Amino acid sequence: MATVALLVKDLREHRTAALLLALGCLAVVLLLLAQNAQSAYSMSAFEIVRFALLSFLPLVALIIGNRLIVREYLSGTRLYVEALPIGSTLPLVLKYLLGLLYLSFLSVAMVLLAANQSGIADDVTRNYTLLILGKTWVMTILYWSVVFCFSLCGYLRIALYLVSAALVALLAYYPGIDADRFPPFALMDDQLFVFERDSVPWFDIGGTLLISLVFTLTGFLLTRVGEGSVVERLAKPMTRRDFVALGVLAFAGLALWSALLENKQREPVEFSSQQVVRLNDPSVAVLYLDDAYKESAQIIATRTHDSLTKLQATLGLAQLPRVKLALIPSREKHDIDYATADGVLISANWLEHDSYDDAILDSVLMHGVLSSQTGGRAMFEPYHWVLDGFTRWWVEQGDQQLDSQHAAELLARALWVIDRQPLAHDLVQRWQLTADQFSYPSAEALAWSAMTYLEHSQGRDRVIALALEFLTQPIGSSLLSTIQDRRESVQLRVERVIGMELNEFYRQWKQWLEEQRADKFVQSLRDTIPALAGRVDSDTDASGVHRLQASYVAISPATTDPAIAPGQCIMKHDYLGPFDTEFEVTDDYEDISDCTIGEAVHVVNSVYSPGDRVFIALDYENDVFHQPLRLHAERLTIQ
Amino acid sequence: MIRLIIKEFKQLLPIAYLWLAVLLLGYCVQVLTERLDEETFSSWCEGYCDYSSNATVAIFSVLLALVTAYSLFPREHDESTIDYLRALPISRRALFIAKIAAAWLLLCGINVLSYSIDAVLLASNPESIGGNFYTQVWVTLLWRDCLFAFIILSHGVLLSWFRTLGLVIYGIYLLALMWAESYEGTSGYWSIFSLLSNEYEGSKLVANYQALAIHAAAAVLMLIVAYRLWNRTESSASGAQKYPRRIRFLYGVLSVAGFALLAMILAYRVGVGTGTAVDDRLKVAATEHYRFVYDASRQELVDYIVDNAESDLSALGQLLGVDELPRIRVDLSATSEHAAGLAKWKKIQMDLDAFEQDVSQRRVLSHETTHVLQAVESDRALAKNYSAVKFFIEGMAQYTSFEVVPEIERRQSNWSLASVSWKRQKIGFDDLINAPEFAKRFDAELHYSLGDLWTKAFVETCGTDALGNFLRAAGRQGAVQDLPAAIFWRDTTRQIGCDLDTVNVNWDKLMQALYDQVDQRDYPSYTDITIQRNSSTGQIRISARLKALTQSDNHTDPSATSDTNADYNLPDRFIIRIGSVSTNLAASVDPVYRGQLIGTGTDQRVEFLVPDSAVTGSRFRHQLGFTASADARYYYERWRRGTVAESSGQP
Repeated sequence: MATVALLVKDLREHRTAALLLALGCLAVVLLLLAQNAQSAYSMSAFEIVRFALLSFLPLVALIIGNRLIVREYLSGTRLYVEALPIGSTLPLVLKYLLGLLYLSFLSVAMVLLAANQSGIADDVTRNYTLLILGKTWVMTILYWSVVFCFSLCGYLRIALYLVSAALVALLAYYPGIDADRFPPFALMDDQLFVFERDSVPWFDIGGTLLISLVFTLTGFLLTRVGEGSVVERLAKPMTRRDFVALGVLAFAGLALWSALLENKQREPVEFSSQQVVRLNDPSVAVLYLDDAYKESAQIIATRTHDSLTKLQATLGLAQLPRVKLALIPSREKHDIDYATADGVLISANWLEHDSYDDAILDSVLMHGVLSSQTGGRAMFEPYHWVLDGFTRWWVEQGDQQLDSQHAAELLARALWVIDRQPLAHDLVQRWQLTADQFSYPSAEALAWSAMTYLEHSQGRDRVIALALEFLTQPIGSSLLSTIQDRRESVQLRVERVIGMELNEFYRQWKQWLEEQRADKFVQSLRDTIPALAGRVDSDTDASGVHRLQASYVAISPATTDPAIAPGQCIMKHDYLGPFDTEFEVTDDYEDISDCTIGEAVHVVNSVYSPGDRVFIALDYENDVFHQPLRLHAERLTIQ
Repeated sequence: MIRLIIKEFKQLLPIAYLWLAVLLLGYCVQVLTERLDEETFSSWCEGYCDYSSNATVAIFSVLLALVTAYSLFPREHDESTIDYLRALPISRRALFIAKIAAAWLLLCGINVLSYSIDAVLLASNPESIGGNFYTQVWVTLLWRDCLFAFIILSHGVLLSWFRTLGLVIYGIYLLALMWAESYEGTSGYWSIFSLLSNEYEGSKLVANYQALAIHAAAAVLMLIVAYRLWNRTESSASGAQKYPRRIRFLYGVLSVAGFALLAMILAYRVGVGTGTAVDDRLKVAATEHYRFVYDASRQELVDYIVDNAESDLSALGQLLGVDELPRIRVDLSATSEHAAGLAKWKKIQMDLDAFEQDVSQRRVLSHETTHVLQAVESDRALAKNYSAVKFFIEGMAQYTSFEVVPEIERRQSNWSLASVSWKRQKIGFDDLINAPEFAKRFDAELHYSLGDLWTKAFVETCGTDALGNFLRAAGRQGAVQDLPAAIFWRDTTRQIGCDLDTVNVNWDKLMQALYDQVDQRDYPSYTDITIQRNSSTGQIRISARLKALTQSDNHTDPSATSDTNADYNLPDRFIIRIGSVSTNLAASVDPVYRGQLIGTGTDQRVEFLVPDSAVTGSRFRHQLGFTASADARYYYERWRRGTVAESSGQP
C-alpha cells in the first residue's frame, strides 16, 4: 500500500514533465530517423540509437535525476517522506526503479522506432534487434546508476559530473589508452555497436553492468552512512569558496592532463631492413636499399661513426642521440631531409657527392646531433651561429686537415655576404636576418669563417670552448631553465670564452676576412658571382589579373651585358603566414631562367592576390659554387 | 554609480579569483613546460589567430562569460539579497547597469591582464625575426575579445533568468549552428563564432566588423529584455515561488519550443538530399558471404555482380591473407550525391547510378569489401590512425579492387592525373600522411589514385603478403596508440620487416615513369585569373584563361611558365571548389561550382559564377579544376587565396 502511495505521489508530481520529456525525446528520435533515412552517409537507422545514447539520453537521465531525487533532497521534503513509518530505503528503491523504468521505456521505444524505420537492407532479425536492445538497455542502466549515485551527493554532484566527464575524456583521448577495448567504451564502439551482429559482447555487457552495480550500491550506501548525515551535509548549499576550490581543482586536473600528454615517452624506432649498416656506441645506422650501394653506406657509416666518436670525446658528451641515415637515390644531391623527433634521421642521396657535398651532409648531421644535445636550444637565434659555425668547422677541420678548395669556397661565400650586407657580421643579433636574406648555406659559411678566424687567432681550444659553452648542456623546457641560461648575456658569455670584446672580435675577424680576399682561389671564386641585384614587382592590371615579376639589375656600372652570368637565375616563392618566423623557401614553386638584365625574367601569374604575404627568393647557381647564392630575398605583402 | 560598480565588483571577487586562478594555472603550466623566450607571435597565436576561426578555443571564452553572467542575478534572487539592494535609494536600472558593468569590467580586466602578460613574455624573445611583435593584431584581438565578452555576457544575463533552461536553449542554439555548418556549409552571421573569425591583409588583422556590430546591437536588445524580466522578478523571500505557475508554464512552452526548433531543423533537412528506393521494389539475393538487397529494376546488373561476388571476395581474401572471410550485407539500393560506395564494419552501401559500366560497379564492390576486410583484419586500428593512413586505406582499396577487377583504361586515367598532380604540386609521402593538411593544400580525392600507386610500390617492395600483414600489425595487441604519423608508419612497417624508405624510393620512380608518359596537352593550366563581385546579381564572377603547360626541367612552377603558342586539348568540364566559410564547429563540405567557356579564339575564358553567400568578406580560398571527359576524375590545381574586387556593373 505504501509502495503504491509513494509511486502515485511521484507520478502525480512529475507526470506532466515526464510526458513532455518523453514526447519531446520521441519526436526528436522520429525526426532524426527521418533525417537519417535521407542522409547521404547514413548506413543504418540504428545509428540514431547510438547517437541518442551519446548525446541526449544522458541529459534526459540528468533531468530525471534532478526531478526525482535532487529536488527532494535539497529542499528537505525527503524528511517528510522519511518520517513516514516505511523506512528510508523503500522510497529510494522506488525512486531508483521509477527512474530506470522511465529511461528504459524511452530506450526501448527508441530501438523499436529505429527497427521499424529500418528497411529490408538492414536485415532486422529478432536476434539483431535483441542485441541492439540489450546494449542500449545496459547503457541506460549505467547512465541511471551514475545519475542516481551523484544525485544523492547534493551540491557536490555538479563537481562529480565534471570530474566524471573529464575522466571519460581522459580515457577516451589519452594516448596509449585504447578505450575501445574495455567497457563501457567498447560497448559503444562506433562500428561495432550497430554493425556487429554476429557476436554478442558478453564481456563488455558484463563489465558495464558491474560498473552500474558499483554506482548503485554506492548511492544506497551513501544514504546509510551515519544514518544519512553525509547526504544531509552534502545537501547544504555550497559556498562560492567551494565553487572556486572545485574550479581550481578541475583546472589543475586539466593542467596535469595536458602536462601528461606533453611528456609521454615512447621507444625509438629503428630501421628494420636487412640492408642496413649498423655501428654502435655511438649508434649509427645507414639504410642503403640496394646491395649496389652497400660500399657507399659502409663508408658514410664509418665516417660518421668516427666523427661522432671524436666529437663525443672532445666535448665530453656522455651520450649521443641515435643517428640514422637513409639513402634516397632519386633525390637531388643537396635535397636533405632532417628530423630530430626520434634521434637524428637524415634522408639524402650521397651517391654523387664530392668531398664538399659530403661536408654539407655531415654538417647537417652534426647540426642535428648538437641540436638534440641541447634540447633544441642551440637553434635559438643568439646561439644559432655557434651551432652552424661549429658544426661546419668540426666537419671541415675539427678532426681532419682543412681542404683548401673547401676553404676557398666558404671564404668566397662569406666575403660575398659581408660585401652585400656589412651588418651581417653581427652574428648574435642578426643571425635570422642574415639567413633570411642570404640563405642558410651563406650564413653557415659566414659563421664557419668566424670559427676559423677564432682558431687561427686563438687556437683550436677556444673554438671547442665556445661549443662547450653553448652546445653541450641540455636546456630544460621551463622558465627556470630559461632564466638560468640567460642570467648572463650572450655577448658576455662569448666575450668570456674568446677573451676579448665582441665588437673587437668582429672587427678583427672582418679584417682577417678581407685579407683572405687576396687569396687567388678565393678571388677567382668570388669573381664568378655576378654583380647583380634582384628586384620584385607586384602589379595588378586593369582587368584585375595579378602578376609578380622579378628582374635583375646591375649593381656595378661595368655590368651591362644582358646575359651577364654563365649560371642560372632561380626564383623561389611561397605563401607566408601573417606573422614572421624563420622560413626556408623550398623549390615547390621555382622558375629557372638565364640571368638577363633589365627585363622581367620571372613572371608569376595569378598565384597570389592582394592581402597575401609571400616570400620571394632570387638565387643564382653556377658550376663553381656547390650551393645557390641568394641575390635577393623579400617578404612581400601583395597590394 | 562608480561606488555601486565597485560594490558589485567586490561581490564578483570569488568569480574573479576563480578566473585568476585559472589564468595562473595556465601560466604555471607554460612556465613549467616551455622556454618562454622562444615563443614567437606566431606560436603564441596558433589556433586562435589562424585564418577563419576556431570554435573550440572560443568555447572557453563563452564558458567564462556565461559563468560570470549566471553569478550576477540568480543567486541574489535565491538568497533574497536583491531585496536589500532594492531598498537602497538607487534606481533599479542603475542597479542593473552596475552589475553588468562590473561583470564586463571583470572580464575585460582578465583579458587585459592575460594579454599584457603575454606581451611581456613575447618581449623576452630577442630574435631578429621570431621576436617581432604585432601591435595592431594584439590590440585588435584584445578589444575584440572584450566586445565578445560583452556580447556573451548579455546572452548569459538573459539566459540566467531561465536558469537551467537557459543553458538548454543555448545548447539548442549551438546545435542549430552545427546543423547549419554541416549541411549549409555556413551558419553566417547567426554564429557567435563568426565574431572571432580572422582575416589578414598582410600582417594586419581584419576583424569581422559587420558581425560584431550586428551581435553588439543584438546584445544591447537582449540586455533591455533581461532588465525587464529581472526587474519584474521578486526574490524568493518576497513571497515569490521559486517556480511560480507562469514560469512553469513558460518552461513548458520553451521546452516544447526547443524541441520544436530542433524538429523544424530536422524536418527541413528531410526535404533536402537524396532518397532511397521504396521497399516493395527491393529484392534480396544471397551468396555464401554476401547478402545483397537491390532494386528489382537493376536485376541484370545485380546478377552480374552477384555472379562474381564470391570469386572476387576470395581473391581479395587471398591478397590480404585473410583466414576467415566475414559475412557482409550489401545495400545496392542506396543513392548518394557524395560517394559511389560506403563501408562500415561489415556493411556496404552502393549507389548503382555512380558508374555506367557493370564492371565498374563490380569493382566498387571489391573496393568497399576491401574496406570491410581492412577494418576486420586491423581490428579497426586503421580508423584510429585515420589522418596518417587515409591515403593507404583508400589506396589499398583501389589497388586490390583494380587487381581483382581490372579496369585498365580508368586506372590509367587515374594514374595519369595522379602523376601530373604529384609532379606539378610536388606531393611527397610526408604530405600523404597528414590527411587534413593534404586537403588544405591539394585535392583530397587524390588520396585514391596516389594511394593506389603508393600501394603498388609497397607491394612491389615488400611483397603481396605485406598488405594483410600491415593491417594485422597495425591492430596487434600492444601496438602503441596515437603515435605521430611518421613514427606510426616506421613502427608498423618495421613490424612486418619492410622498409618505408625503400617503398618511397620505388614510389618516386613509379610516379616519374608515369609522368613521363603523360601527354601534357591534356593538362593545361589556369592563368589570368580575375575575381569580381557583382552586387546587383549577388554573385562573384571568377574568370580565368587556360594555357598550355610544356613542362621542361627548368620550369617546375606552372604559374611561371607560359608558352602561348603551344597547343592544349580543351577539357570537357570546368569546376571550382570554394573553401568553406564554416567556423569549424562541425565538419562541412567545400562547395563546388561548374564553369563554362565564354568568348572565342584567343579571347576564350572559363567563367565561374559563385553565389555571394559562399564567400565571407573579400578574401577566400579556391581551387580550380577541369576534366578531360565526363567519366574521368577532375584534376584540381593547388588551393589559392583570392581577393574579391567590387564591381556593380555587368561583366
